[in-house]
Amino acid sequence: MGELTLGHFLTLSALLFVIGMLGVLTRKNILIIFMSIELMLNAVNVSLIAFGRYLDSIAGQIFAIFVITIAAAEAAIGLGLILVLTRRQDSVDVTSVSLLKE
Amino acid sequence: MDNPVAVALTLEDFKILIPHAIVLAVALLTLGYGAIAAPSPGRNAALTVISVFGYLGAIVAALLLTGQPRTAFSGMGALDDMAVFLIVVIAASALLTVFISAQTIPAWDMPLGEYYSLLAFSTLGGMLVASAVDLVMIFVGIELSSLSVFVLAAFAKRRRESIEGALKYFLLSSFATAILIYGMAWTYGVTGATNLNDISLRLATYQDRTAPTLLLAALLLIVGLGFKAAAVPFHMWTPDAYQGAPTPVTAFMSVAPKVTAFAAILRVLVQGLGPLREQWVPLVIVLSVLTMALGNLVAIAQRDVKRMLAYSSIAHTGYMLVGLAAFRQIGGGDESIPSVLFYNFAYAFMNIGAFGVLAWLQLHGKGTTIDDFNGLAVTAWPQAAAMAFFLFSLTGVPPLLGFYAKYFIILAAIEAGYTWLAVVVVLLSAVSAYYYLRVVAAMYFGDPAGAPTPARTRFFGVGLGAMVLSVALFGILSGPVLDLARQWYLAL
Amino acid sequence: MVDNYAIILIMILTVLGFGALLLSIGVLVRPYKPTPRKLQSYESGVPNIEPLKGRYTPRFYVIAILFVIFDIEAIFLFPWAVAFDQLGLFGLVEMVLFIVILLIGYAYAWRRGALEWV
Repeated sequence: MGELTLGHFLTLSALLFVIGMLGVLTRKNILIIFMSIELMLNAVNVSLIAFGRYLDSIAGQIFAIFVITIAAAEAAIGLGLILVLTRRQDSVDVTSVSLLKE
Repeated sequence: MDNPVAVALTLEDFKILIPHAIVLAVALLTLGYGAIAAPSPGRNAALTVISVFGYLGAIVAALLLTGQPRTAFSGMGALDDMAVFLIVVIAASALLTVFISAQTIPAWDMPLGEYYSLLAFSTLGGMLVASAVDLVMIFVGIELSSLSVFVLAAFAKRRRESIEGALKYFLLSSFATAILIYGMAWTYGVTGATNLNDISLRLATYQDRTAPTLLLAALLLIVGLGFKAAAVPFHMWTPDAYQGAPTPVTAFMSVAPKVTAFAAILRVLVQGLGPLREQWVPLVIVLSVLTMALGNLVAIAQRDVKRMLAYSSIAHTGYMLVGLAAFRQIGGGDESIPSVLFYNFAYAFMNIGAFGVLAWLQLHGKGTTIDDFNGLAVTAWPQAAAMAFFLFSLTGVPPLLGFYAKYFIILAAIEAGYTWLAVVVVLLSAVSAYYYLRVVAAMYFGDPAGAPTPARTRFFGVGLGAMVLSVALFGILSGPVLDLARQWYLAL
Repeated sequence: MVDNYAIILIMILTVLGFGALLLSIGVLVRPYKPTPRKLQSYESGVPNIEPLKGRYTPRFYVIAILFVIFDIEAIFLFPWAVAFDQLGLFGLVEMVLFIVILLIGYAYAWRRGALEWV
C-alpha cells in the first residue's frame, strides 16, 4: 500500500460529491434531498482541507470552518421550513410539493 | 503555529465597513425592538423609521466614502467604486421595499419586526459580497443574503404555496451553493489563493489556461452563480418562489439576490478569473441567449401578472449576462461592466415599482391576474399610470431608465463584436413589449371590474412616486450614474 | 481547449452511466416479494405497535434546531483560542462582539418562547 496523496482525498471528495448530487437529483423525499446536500457540502470540506494541507496554507481550513457554520445555519432554516410544511400536511415527499406548475 | 498570524488591523480598516455596520444595526434593532414591544401602529411606524433612516444612512455613508479606493483587512475587503455602486443599488432596493412593505405586511398579519430584520440581514449579505475581494467572504455574503430570503419567501406561512415555493427555492439554492463552493475549492486548489487579486495574478502567469482542473473550477463557479442569478437552465426555482412569496418580498427577491449574484459574478469571474476570459465568455453567451429566450417566450403565456413578472425577471438576467459577455479586459475602458452595473441600477427601480403596484392592488382587495388590472386607469388612475410607466421602462421605451439600460448593454455588445447578440436583445425586447403592454392595454381599455376597496396607503404612495421619478429622471440624467459605474476597475 | 471539455464530458457521462448501470443491475437481480411485515419500519426486531408518524412533538425540533445553531457557532471560538496570544485585546473585543450578536439571537429566541419546554 502506498501512502495517501492529495489525489486520494480529491477522489474521495469527488465521489462523495457525486453521490450527494445523484441523491438530490433522484430522491423524492425532502429530508433525504436535504441530507444529500449536506453530503455535498461535506465533500467540499474534504477537498478544501486536502488542498489546504497540500498547499501548506491555512486558508483551506478557515474556509471549511465557514462552510460548516453556514451548513448549520442552512440546516436550521431548511428544517424550520420542512417543519412548517409538515404542519400543513402529513408528508415530507417532495413530489407532493407541486402545487405550482409552469 | 508554523505561520503566525500578523494582526495589523487599524481603525482605518473598519472605515470601509461603516455602511455594513449601519445595516447590521438596523437588523439587530428591528429584531430586538420588534420582539420587545407589543404590536401597535406606533411600534410599526418606529420600525419603519429605523429601517428607512438606516438604509439612507448606509447609502450616504457609501457615497461619502467613494473616490478613495481602499482595500482593508489584509486585502479581504475593498470599498472601490464597484463596491460603492452595488452597495447603493442593494441598499436602495431594500429602502424601496420598505416603502411598499410598511403598510402591506402588517395588513396581512405578518410580524413587521422580523420582516425588517430579515430584509436588513439579506441586504447586509449583498453588501458584503459587493465589497468582498475574497472567495470566503463572497461565500458568506451570498449565503447570508439567500438564507434570509428563504425565510422571507415563506413569510406567508398560512398559504401552502408560500412555504412550498420557499422550500423549492431553498433546496435548489443550497444545491447551487454546494456546486459553487466546490468550484471555489478547486479554484483555491489550483491557484493556491482565496484572494481574488492573487488568483488573477497567478492565473495570468499560467501557460496552459485550459487545464481540465481549471475548466472544471470555472464551470462549477458559473453553474453555481448562474443558479443564484436565475439564469436558464438553472431558473427552475424562480417562478414558484416568486409567485408563492408575499408580493413585497417578491419585489425584493427579484432584485437584491440578483444584484448580489451579479456582484459575486463580477468579483469572481471578472476580478478573479479575468485571465480565463476566453474560456468563460462562450459559456456566458450561451447562458445569456437561453435566459433571454426562455424568459421572454414563457412570459407571453402567463395570465398571472406576478408569474409573468417572474419570467420577465429571468429575461432581464439574460440582458445583464449579455453585458458580461462583452467583457474584454480589466481597465480596458470598454463599456461592458459599466453597462452591467447600470442595468442592475435601472432594474432595481423599475422592477420593484412594478411589483409595488401589484402589492398595492392586492392590498386593495384585488388578485394578481391580468383581469384584475382591467380598467384600473378609471378606478385608480395614479397607480395605473405608475404601472404603465414601469412596464414601458421594462420594455425599454425611450426616454425612460430601462431604455438607457438596454441601450448601454447593446452598445457594449456591438463594441465587443457581438452584433448578433445585440440583435437578439432587440428582437426579444420587441417580444417582451407584447406581454408588458398587454397589462397596459387591460388597464386603459379594459372594462372596470369593481373599484378597489379602500386602504391606508399614503406612505406606499410616496414610495411609488419616488420610483416613478427615479425611472423618469435617472434615464435622462444617466451621465453621473454611468460615470461612477465606469470607475469600477479603479481599485482592481 | 475543446479536448479538455471533452474530458470533463466523458467523466460526467461515465459517472452517470455507472450509476444508472448499478441501479438497473440492482432492479434486475434482486428479488421483490413484499410482505406486510417487510414493509414495516425496522425497530430493532421489536414489532411496531403504532405508526411512526406523529411520535415526536414539533417542540422537540425547535429545540434541536436552536441547539445545532448555537453549538456550531462555538467552532469560531477554537481558532480564536489557539491564536489568543497573538490576537490580544483586539481579538478579545472582536470575540465579545461576536458573542453579543449571538446573545441578541438567544434573547430573541427566549423572548419568543422558543425555549419553553411544553
